[in-house]
Amino acid sequence: MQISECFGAFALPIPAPPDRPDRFDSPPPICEDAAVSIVRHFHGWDRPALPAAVELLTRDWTGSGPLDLRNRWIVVPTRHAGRRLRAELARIAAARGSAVLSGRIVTPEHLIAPPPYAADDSLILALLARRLLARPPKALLPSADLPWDFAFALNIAAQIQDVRRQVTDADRSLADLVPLVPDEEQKRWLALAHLEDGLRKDLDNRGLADPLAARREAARRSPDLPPGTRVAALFVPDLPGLAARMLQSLAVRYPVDVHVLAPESKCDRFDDWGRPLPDRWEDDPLPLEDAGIHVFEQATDETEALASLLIEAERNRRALAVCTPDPDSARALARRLQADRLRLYLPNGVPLSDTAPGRLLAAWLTFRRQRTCAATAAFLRHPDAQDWLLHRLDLSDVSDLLSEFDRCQTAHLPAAFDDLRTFARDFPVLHRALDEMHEQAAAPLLPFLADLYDCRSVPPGRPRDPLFAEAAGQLAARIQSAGEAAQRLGLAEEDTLALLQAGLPREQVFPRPDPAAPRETIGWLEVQWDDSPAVLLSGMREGIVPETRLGDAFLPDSLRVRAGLPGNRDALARDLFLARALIASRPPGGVRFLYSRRTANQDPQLPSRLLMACPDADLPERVMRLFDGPALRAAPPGAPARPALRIAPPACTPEQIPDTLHVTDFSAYLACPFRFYLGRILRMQPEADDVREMDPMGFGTLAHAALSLLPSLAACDDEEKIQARLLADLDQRARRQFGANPPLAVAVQLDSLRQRLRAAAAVHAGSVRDGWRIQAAEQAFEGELDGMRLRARLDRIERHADDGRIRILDYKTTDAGKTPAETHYQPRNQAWTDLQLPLYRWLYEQAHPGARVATGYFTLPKAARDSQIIEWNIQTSAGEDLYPAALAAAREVIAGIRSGRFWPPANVRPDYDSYALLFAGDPPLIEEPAP
Amino acid sequence: MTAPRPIRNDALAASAGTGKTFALSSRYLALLAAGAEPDAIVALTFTRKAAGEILSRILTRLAAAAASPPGFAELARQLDEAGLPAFADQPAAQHALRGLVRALPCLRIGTLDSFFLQILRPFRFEAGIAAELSISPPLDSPEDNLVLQHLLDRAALDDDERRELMEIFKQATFGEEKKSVYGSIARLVENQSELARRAPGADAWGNPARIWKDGGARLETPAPPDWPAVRAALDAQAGSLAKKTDLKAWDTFAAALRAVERDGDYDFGPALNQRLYAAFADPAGDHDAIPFGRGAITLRPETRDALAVVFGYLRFLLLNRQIIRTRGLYRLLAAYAREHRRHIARTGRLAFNDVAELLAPGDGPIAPARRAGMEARLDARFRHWLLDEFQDTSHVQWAVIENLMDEVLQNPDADRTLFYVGDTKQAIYEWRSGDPRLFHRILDKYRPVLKQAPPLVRSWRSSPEVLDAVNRVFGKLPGMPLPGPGAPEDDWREIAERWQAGWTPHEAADRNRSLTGHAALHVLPRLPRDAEEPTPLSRAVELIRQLRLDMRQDFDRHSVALLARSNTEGRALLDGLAKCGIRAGWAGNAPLLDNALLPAILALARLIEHPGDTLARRHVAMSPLAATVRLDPAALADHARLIREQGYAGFIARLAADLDLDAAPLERARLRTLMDVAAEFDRQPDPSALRFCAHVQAQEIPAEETGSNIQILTMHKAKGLEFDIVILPALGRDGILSRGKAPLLVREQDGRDPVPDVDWILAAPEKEVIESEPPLAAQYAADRRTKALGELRLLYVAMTRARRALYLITTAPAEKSATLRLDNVLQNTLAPDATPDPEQPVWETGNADWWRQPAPAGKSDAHAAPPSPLEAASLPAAPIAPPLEARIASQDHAGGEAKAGWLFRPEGAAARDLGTRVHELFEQIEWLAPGELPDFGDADPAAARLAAGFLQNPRCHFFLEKPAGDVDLLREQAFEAVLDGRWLSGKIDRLHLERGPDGRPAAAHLFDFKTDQTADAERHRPQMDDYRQAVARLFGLPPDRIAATLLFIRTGDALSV
Ligand code: SF4
Repeated sequence: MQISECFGAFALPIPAPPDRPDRFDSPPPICEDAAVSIVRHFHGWDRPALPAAVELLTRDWTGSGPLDLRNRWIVVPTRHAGRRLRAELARIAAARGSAVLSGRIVTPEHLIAPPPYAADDSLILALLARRLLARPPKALLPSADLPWDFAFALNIAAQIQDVRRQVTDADRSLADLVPLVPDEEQKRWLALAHLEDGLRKDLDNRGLADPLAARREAARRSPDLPPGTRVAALFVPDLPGLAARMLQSLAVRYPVDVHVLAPESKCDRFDDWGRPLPDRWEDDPLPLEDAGIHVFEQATDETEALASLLIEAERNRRALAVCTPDPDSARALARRLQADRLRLYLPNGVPLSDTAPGRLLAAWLTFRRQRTCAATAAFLRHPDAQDWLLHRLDLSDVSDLLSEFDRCQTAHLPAAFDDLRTFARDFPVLHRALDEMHEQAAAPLLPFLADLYDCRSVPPGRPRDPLFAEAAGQLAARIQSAGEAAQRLGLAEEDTLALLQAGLPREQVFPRPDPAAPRETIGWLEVQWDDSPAVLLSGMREGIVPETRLGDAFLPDSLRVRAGLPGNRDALARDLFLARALIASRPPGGVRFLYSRRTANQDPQLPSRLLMACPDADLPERVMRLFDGPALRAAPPGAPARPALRIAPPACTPEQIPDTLHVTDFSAYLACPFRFYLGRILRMQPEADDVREMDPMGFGTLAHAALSLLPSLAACDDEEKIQARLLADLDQRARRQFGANPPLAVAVQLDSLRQRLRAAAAVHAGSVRDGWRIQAAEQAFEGELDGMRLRARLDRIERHADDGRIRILDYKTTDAGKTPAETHYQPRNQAWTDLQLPLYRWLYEQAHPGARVATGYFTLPKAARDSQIIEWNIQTSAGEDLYPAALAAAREVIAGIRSGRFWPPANVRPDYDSYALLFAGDPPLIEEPAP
Repeated sequence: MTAPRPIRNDALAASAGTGKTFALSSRYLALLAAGAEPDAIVALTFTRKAAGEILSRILTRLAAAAASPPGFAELARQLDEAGLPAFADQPAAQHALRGLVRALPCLRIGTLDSFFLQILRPFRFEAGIAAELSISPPLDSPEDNLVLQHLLDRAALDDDERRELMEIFKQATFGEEKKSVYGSIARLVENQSELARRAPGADAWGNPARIWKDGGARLETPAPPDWPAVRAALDAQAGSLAKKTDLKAWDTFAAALRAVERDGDYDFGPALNQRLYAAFADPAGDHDAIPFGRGAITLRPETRDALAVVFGYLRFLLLNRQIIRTRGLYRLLAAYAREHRRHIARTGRLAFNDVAELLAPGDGPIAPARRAGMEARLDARFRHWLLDEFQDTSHVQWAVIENLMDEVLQNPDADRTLFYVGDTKQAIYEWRSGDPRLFHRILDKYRPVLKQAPPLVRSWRSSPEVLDAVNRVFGKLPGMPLPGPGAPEDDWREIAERWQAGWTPHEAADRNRSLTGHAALHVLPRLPRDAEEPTPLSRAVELIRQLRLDMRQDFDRHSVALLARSNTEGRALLDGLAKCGIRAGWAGNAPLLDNALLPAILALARLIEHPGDTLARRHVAMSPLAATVRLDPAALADHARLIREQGYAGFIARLAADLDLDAAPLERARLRTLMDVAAEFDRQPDPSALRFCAHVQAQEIPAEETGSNIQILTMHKAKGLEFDIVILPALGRDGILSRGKAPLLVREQDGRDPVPDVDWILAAPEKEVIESEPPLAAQYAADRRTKALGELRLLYVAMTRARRALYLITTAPAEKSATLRLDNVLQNTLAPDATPDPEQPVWETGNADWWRQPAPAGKSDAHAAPPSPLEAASLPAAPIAPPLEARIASQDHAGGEAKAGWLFRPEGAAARDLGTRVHELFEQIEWLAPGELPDFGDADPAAARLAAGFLQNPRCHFFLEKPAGDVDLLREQAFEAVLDGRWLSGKIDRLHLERGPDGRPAAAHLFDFKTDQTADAERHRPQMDDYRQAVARLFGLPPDRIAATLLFIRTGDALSV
């Protein structure tokens, strides 16, 4: 669930303290120094940025020889804009049979090269965390009873570092902000500034520089560039303060041009760096017609419309720019199109932790840090880990490994890796795999990953992971730097791993261009860098365009404004300008604003204020249209469709008909012949690793196992002795199965089992006193009924010491402790639900003709004191003999199975049905297997 | 301009359909008119949908006023009628509209939840949270509770605690058939955490001193009875009993006492056992003759004395067990709460409940001083508070804003106001801890600064007939006859009087006065044994059929709702209608897995991670996926890879691309939804297949619109909606006066505080035990009354959904039944003496032909323009430039990705690094004189050594010497070129460009530095070919005039390619 917070979102403002400056002198004013040459150029807005930029850069090119841009430094708003520009230049040059000698094309962020002696992110975070941990700053985190440890401190360090980064972008330090905050915030900010100061000292002591401070210094120096170099900021509407500072430094030695995509006549609406001035734009209406606004009912309607337009455009080879400012909706669109086999390239970055190699490392780190069974599973399930294990264990595939893992988990319910490893002794493949993991758990990461990734095998012809190489490279660098930081600081291993893991989600990986994707989406900031005459701006909602910053713990909007960081007003001004220029640069009707009233989850969302930036007189009408009028739907609601696809189970072939039945099969068939077919004939059995306690079967098996020693106490009526033996046996078995420290839930179950065995001892002693002696236990019987071989294993056969009567008892550990009559026969509709006891009797009588046989349950219900032996001599409560009817019923079952009669399935409540998924739909969408 | 009217602090009770949202938006507009800044007004409600409605109502009303003089006059009139100030003139409204739009991002019209989150976010450090906040999605099942898993698996408890927890678990799970131990604990924690928040200290939990305030606890451990003596006394008593029935009952009782002796359990089943317990529980009661059967059993003195001891002991046993259990529960919850707090502190992941809990004063982590600072800021910021649906506000929610409200109300002269609106009759969310009592308690506390505004009782929704039925049912509940003797009259009287206290008869708003409507009550006779119809459900279906016949084409123009108590009944109605060929929409949520495709996809996801799962394997094989999906290990591995690369969303999109679903529109729609669901799931850190399956299985999607005018939905879901015709055929079978199964007895402290503290908590013992303990019995009765009120509210909500017609379908009560059901409430208020009738209503009012009269125009779309369609044809067209397939030259040649270990090899990393540095050194070199070695200064020694070594070799050195002629030098030169339609970006390490006599390029020599361990030129040939072509393009040279040399720095080789 994603929470749309734009609904009524806000930031707590911090009032300006009385005698402090109200706004920092930002942007840095251009020096009056005569040597500085920064010139603004206005290019009009009657065409997109791309052709304007190309025109600018090719102006002096005669067309003979290469397009030589070697002495150009060009700042573009985003990396994707840069890519577009480079591609377009290549194309233009190619059109004249030539190519481009490139200059430097950078985003503002990369305008300033990080100095080589600066510390990297890992070290900074580690140092900050160390400082926080050494003396938790009360001013920052006043609560007592916090779980302070390195990982906790790292979390805070990361946030502080983010604040520092933002502040640095505006060419400030934390200390610079202290005078700007109100009194009640002073302490906090002093603590922050103090931390920053301490960090610098830490770095100084190690002969390193703070990368952020170093950036600020670098921005104050002009690098040596070849003579004749020209620097240009190309249509960057939101140049950060630090980049402006850099340009200023450059301007001392080289000409710097600031290009603005607006007519000269609007020059007073921009500052020296080509950034729109909020008070000149805020109230300026956009020339946006109603016809250019498309209101959709729901986000899915919008995605649907976009998808069909893109498919259409692709079919007709038409240019169409789709701008998706919200990466989530871009992804939704990409998926929607992928399902229609149209690939869409998304230039957005992905957190390192979400890439395939990032997930592998995260799983491995979790495994190393926690050493739990769950973490082991996560690692084993990663295909890269599997390739490695296949290679190490010389396997052809992982089926056995994973299956053994599941079975081992289910049998022993281990929580910790070490327990798992102990129990894995009976699972050869798993055992070896765990040994490998164990061995590597202490190994250095990089060599381990190198070995692991040498085993990676991607089948040829499979589309490549566009993120893989980038992500792997970045991971290697991260590991390297975390390792170096750990070494410098002498971090404990646990802390090093935490440091590494904390870094993964913080880093973005950008996908390589996807050669197979004919279409791409663009972000809001680079939409001008697409020159299609038709532009669809999707998801134009408040909070996204313009972006609103809310509830920042450190830098609320009011403080940002005072500190010269871009604030919400700047964002609005920028976006109004961008929209204005965009509309002006396309043919009439070319730019469309799309807005959906509700998200896919039905939550309301607000339209962007851009859509309401109309003349005052039109506003009421516009508001009604956006909020109240009818909206577009993908398709008019119609009759809901019925499911069209079905499950088609295979028919039972004659070879599949069993010639042997186990007595317990009868109840399964009686409960549902079709599920019997699925389970016993098709052998459809679930297997997984999500069990946290014994299931009723496992519980029963354990109880049976303990009870199986009763024959050795056949004549013993000493309750205590029996109890002691049973419990000792149980404890031993439990320890063997679950180890010394079973999960709490199992402990509870074992406790319940103990109680039941205690009660069983009493019942057993009672039966001995009554003259019964166990004659056999767990004895196998076979017989043939109507040509079908029947098998059974009888839990307990007793013989009466006085008269030789035989009694066959079945242990029942179900919680409720139902009587045999209840479980076998429904007198109301004269239906059999189980035939176990009658068939036991029959089997016994086949082997011992003429024996007098009684049957019954030895129940061990949850309410232990209700344990008892319940005889049932296959009669109705009125004493009518049901035995012949039972045998007839058994014969019917046999006949049914033999003739392959498994249809129709019975109705089973889904929460009691392990086949529930298969039986989805109402009625279930299963076809009767063709005979 | 007249002097502005003051805006008071108001609590407004607004009955159903009387325009709550309208009143709230009026208030908001009035505040704007009075000059309040939009960002100083807070308007909070409970659902995002409601918040959206409030905002659009405010905006569109203001827009209408700004648009035209009639619109302006209309708003002015409405505000005036509500006693509120209006805008001075139309320009003022226009101005306000612009102001509102400008302030859009900082408007505080939203849900309480998101408002609290926004408060907490900047204060998270104060709350001790280290990470960024994120709201975690609700758990797919309580078993997914991570904190609990860690608590239990890690055994963070010492042995004693472990043992005690085990004890609690055992008891907590006792009697719950088929539920897992783990699941039971998880549910326990989930259900009782809220209570743990309200009663954070141990005092309230299982504390006899609080429960038996008069000292009646007598809970000092009594000595166990002298059992042999007891048995003797019982035997003797048995000997004295003459009647066979008495003797039999006595034997049973004796057996029960043996069980007490053995296990400490007492069987309350048999009547005599109950009587005896009840008699002896009251020390002052009559212990001599125990009424039984038609007579009584007279106890012998020894029996009496023995039983007094036994029952004293038993009472102790039974109560003490609950006390221990309650305390154990407390310790479990406290341990959980501690762990939960730490989890939030570490991860920042929390639920909305946690947010309010962290912000609320008291036990929360925010220090009082900090909290005061926070409140001061909020107080400075927000001047006006508008709270919607106030009856659903919970204690903790109120606690968060209580001080602020106090500030508003205690300083009446300051320019601040509070307004809340709600209807306690519609408080049906008590299970979500909403407390309707707050509505009046707050009013009581702050009177007279806070006033109750005249309640809204004029319904804009319903016809007079519908309102008549509502008034008849709810207007005279205290006088309603109860079914049969034995019905709890006292309980009922108290409930009915409580209802009555908040009741004002409803009337139709002017515009509806002359509207005809229809209301009718059906009482069906009880079904004879074998008959299946008519049931209320079948009667409802029949009614719809009849209405369709009668109303003909008019039927489709009216909205119809069938309100059911439960989803099961809803679906049964849907089925019933479908059988008659009538299409209806199920407005509840629909499962995503109502088709054969999605379950098969889940099975496939399972199979990928659990290849031994033959159920999943065969499931896929017999599913629609079978045609397109392979299940061999290699194919499964490929899916697994895709899932790690692109998440489940990418995996499903790939499956979708291979499926042909043209003939399966439902499956296609579900698949698209599944992709969105998967995308959300992919954000979670643990992408295991089982969790994915559980997540999808837990999803319910809003049912799609059917185009039908008939909606079926549950009564709970109907809140806030309205329909022309409402049919109520399933009001529930349970009696409304039973307490239900709540496992705990919770008593609140008396007092006038809006939010009372919890006085005591006790795990509920057996009903008989409760009834013999006055404090427990009193609480038990109170719970029963609360529950009954809830039932009445639900009925009220359901009935008031109707605009024109209301059809109530009930069944006659069983003979002699003393149970009071909602059915009986309707029968006994509307038609107490009616004879059941399978066909005709037993009571009706209004006109069955009501539909012939059109409804008055309400909110209309008259002014709204149709939406502008988005069509390809209307967009300016241009052909797309042929796409450029992009390549980055050097990377593409660097070998495939399969064997990717080198990316991680430390040597590899160092080598890459070294390579970069060597490149940097060579970039510095312009031309070397023969034999000259450059001074590498303080360059990296390793790199310098390599470079120097390379240059020692004269054959290599040669290439850095200036050739004869006019030669240009390019170093580290990036280029862009289009070759064969592919866009190539690259960087040439070094290029010597010879110029001919005319000054034009005549030949070129390009170099690439390699730090490979071995000199393998072939490996780099494709790259050099590309580069050669690029240089040819750049300088217009024929390729054969371009030499290319690879310089292997490490091996000292120079190889031409
Ligand atoms: S913080 Fe949360 S996720 Fe981490 S160990 Fe504690 S409970 Fe588990």
